[in-house]
Amino acid sequence: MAATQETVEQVQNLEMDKYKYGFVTEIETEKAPKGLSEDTVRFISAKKNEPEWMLEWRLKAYRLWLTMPEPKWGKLDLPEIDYQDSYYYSSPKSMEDRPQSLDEVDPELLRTYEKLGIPIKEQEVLAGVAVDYVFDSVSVATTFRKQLLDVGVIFCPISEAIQDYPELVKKYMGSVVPQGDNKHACLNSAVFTDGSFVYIPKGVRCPMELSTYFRINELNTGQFERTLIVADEGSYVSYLEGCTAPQRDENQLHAAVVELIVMDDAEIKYSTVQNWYPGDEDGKGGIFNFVTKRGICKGKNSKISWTQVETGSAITWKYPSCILQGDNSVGEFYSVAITNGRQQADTGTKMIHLGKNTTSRIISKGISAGKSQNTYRGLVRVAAKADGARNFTQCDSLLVGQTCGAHTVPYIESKNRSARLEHEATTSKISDDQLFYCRQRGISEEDAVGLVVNGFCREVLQELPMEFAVEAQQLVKISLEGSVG
Amino acid sequence: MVTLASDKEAFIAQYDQSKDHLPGSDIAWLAELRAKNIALFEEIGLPTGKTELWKFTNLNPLKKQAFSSPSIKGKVSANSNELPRLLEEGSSYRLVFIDGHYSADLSDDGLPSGVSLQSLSSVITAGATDLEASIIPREREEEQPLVALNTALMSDGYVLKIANDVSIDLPIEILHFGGGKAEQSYHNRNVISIGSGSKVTIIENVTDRSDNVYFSNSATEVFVGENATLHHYRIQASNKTAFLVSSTEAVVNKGASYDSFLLNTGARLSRTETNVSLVAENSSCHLNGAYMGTDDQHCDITTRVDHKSPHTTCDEVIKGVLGGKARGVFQGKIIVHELAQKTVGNQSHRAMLLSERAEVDAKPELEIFADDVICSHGCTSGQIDGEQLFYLRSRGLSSEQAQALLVNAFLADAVEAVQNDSLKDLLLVKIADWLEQNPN
Amino acid sequence: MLEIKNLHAEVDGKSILKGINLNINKGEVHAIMGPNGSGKSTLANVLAGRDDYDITEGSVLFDGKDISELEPEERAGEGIFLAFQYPVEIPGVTNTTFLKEALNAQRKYRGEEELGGMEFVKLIRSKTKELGIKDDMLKRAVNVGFSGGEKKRNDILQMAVLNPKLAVLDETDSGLDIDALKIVAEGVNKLRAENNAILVITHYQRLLNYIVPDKVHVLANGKIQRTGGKELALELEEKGYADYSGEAA
Repeated sequence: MAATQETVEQVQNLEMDKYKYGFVTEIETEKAPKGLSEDTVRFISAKKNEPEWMLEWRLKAYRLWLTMPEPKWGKLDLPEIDYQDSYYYSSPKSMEDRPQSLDEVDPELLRTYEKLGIPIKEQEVLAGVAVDYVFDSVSVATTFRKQLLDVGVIFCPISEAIQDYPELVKKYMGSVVPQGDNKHACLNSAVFTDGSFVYIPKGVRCPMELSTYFRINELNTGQFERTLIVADEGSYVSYLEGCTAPQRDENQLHAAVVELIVMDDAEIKYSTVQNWYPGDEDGKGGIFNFVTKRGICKGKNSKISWTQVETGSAITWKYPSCILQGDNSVGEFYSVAITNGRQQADTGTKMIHLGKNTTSRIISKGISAGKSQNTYRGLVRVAAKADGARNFTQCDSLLVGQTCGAHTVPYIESKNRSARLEHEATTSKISDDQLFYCRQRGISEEDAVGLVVNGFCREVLQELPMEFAVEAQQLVKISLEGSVG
Repeated sequence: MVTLASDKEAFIAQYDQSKDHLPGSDIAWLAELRAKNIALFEEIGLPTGKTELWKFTNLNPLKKQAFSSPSIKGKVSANSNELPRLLEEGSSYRLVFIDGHYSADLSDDGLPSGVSLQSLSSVITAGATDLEASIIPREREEEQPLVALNTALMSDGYVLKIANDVSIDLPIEILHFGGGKAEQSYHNRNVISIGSGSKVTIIENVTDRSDNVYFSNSATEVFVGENATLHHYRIQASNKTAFLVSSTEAVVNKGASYDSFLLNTGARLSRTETNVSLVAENSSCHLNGAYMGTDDQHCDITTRVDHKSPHTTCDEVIKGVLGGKARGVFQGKIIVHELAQKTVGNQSHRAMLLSERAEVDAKPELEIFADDVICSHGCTSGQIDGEQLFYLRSRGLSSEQAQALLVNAFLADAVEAVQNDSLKDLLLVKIADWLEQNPN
Repeated sequence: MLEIKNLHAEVDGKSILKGINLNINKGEVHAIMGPNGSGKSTLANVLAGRDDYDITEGSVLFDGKDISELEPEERAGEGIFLAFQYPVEIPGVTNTTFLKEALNAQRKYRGEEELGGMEFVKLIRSKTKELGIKDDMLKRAVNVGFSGGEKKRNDILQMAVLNPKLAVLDETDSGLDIDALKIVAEGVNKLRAENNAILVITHYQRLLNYIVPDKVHVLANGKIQRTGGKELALELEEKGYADYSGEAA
């Protein structure tokens, strides 16, 4: 069809615009020597002026990492990673002395974030969202900190938390994701550079959304951030993270760890819009996104809700999970994963029911297009003592194009008869009838795909905070450009 | 007597001891095939907890148990009166295996024309013509160590060949009667080949005469020709000390259908694996079943369907009920290969736990490489609906009666898929009997 | 407005339309009636440009423009609207979103300015009021969980909002009880105007009691066999299609 050809050409022309975050910021940086050794770990620790206990913790992780095998169970075609060919620390020079206020932040950095559509200047920031900006290895700015502190909420770069709140960090870091959990988490434990720390005190409902914006800028630089959120009794926080990286031919490594701890009657809502550079059409370049996210519902009636929209990265490997320890605790996982081109995603969740009357809900929407592979991998486990546990899982996959793959690999284990587990999965092609219906009403084929896919994902997208939902819908559409015809 | 555990080495030793006596030891290709397979078995070993395909089924109880080398020539002896029949005499052709060995005397004769049924040992004794083409290495043989062990040690089994365009009205009933002696192991190998346009029903009845511990490790190669239909039913009602491992590999051709049903109530540990390849257009399969477990029984049903061609269909409905400390495992994989457009695949597994210590593990899996497909799976686990139970009790039923009624209804639903009415009734009776014998 | 000349079309290589000639002028309502398998729905799909419905001979001019090479969305932009025999469900997409996307895509195609949020809401409110459709229908996903009658009414609402030049109603009456039929017909009649035309495709005459056509055509065996006034529909109701089906059967 002529129009199809046209579409293809248009998309090819658009290709450069398609990943609109693909630009590089020219900024002077300071880096650790290339490669990974104990010296690298010491260098990072020294750069951050860390106390001895932190360095020891890192070194322990590094030594353990050397002995660990690569995790092989994902359905991923993964090249051998040369850990020595990467930088593990990169910081804008201007950050040597951390700016005390936004006015001191390097204007080039401010411009970078403006270009990304997320202005740092507080007056321009979306009302009611406090943001921590992480650029390569360091946090460059955190907004609204003072206002938050007034109500007792700690929101700061984790490097500062190590200095200012060592007891909290010592107590909780590694308590949900132990160093030896998996090789990627272990690497993070050794070389993590920055990330966010959040503490919500008892009974406080965090007055605004908290957000971290991650940006990988430097060539050959890995990003290893670590996020730790503690919600004390009866508190609530909604936390968002967004991620982008420049368009580069080399693969870059991103190995993050996120730990959530939720006490009695508290709730954390954690939302992610992941849009790291996915590589080009032929699979050149792109981020390897290896993330270990896990939360524990320690207290009774506690709740963790993960929402993720995964559109970027060459390879995504992440399973945001919940350990439902407290009685009546609730775990939720809402996920949209879109793969196009030669992207590969292996993502899902684990819900571990330990406490009584614990409830979990999993809604996963996978969309595969182009030559991509998209896998949902999940575990629902009910321990013998988890009386009255309840899980509902719905996993739907949508195929757009004939050369992609969609896979569903759930593990369902129940040791308790009073537990009720329901799992449903479907896989189908995007419907020709739906597309024709839309087109008959005047909507172009590409827009029709965007519309139908957004509808398919609606249950998940509506879980996102308002500010993110609109962006996510756009992202869903953009991610599928060039996938029809 | 020194009891040796059945680790990998023990089985290899069995092979070394018996290789010169196994049927066909003088046939070069067969001896070579056995040698190759024992080498493969040695390389991969028995499955462990780290073997993904055996993730939920731990073979330790088997490994702790010693088994004697497979007997080469069975001293077949049984009183024909004590042999169970599933269907009344005259309403099926019955074929009898005693402790792994075919008994011509006890089997019915007078099979219709177009049906050739021989024991594996007699086929081998006669020179093993055609067998080489039937027992070819399976796809993914490296994932099937117990099939490799079977190939190395196979000593009997049946070879059933149906000519083209033959419809057999009466089912062929194959009795596997075990437990004659303690600590026996049998490695039966079966071949079923259905010619184009033919229609056959085979019912395998796996049972025994005592509670002797034995290990049956069988493998069956199934070939369904164009537009043919094979109904392949299996009832495993052996004693609760037996170890039953079986692996069926079916290739289904154009327009053909492989329809199976498994009813499993027996064995200390059972693993029933069915792999189906839908290799040509309009081929289909139904893999249905029901399992019940109690005490410390372990029942594993593993299926894999490869859609390799467009317009292929599979349906799976499996239901399980577990009491005592029983553990049920269901693994079901549907793979839609790149060219298999217009595939329809549906799978459902539902388990009911009746006791506090029962456990169920499931891994339904979809792997899809074509876009124009409709595939789904559903999987549930839970207990009897309290509301329904109360409703029945309020109408005067005892708690036990009410439970039995509900469990029966739950399982009967799976039997619906069985097309042969007399067999359907038989299965329902078996389910009711089990419920009576195992009030949970 | 619509000129169909010697139209031949095939579906999956099978010849269905075998030389259709049809002219529809502004302000007219035409009905095409015919037995099952006569090619009625094929004609509707060919006009809308559905994939796999290939024109092998002849032409379709719309306002003097040959539309046979246009994509479905381009034909929609030109002003052709197809009311579906089986309106499609689109989970997760609300009617409001759908209508807005569709209307603005068409306006863009025609070089008109796209409607902003407020203007759009005003327009859609006026249309729902006019057609007596409850606003909560707008918040529901397109046709999901709708009854047969609701789906058809939803199509009529879309038609009212999109305001096409030519509306093709493909067996709109199928599966409707008499009350739903009346409501749908009423909706269609409200949209009748000097500047647009309606093509009603139906098997039964009953719909034509409520949407009174200017002309009735009998389609059988891929060709228009006879053309007449509204009385022809009554005749068909009485005699059936037996006279026309000889060749088709």
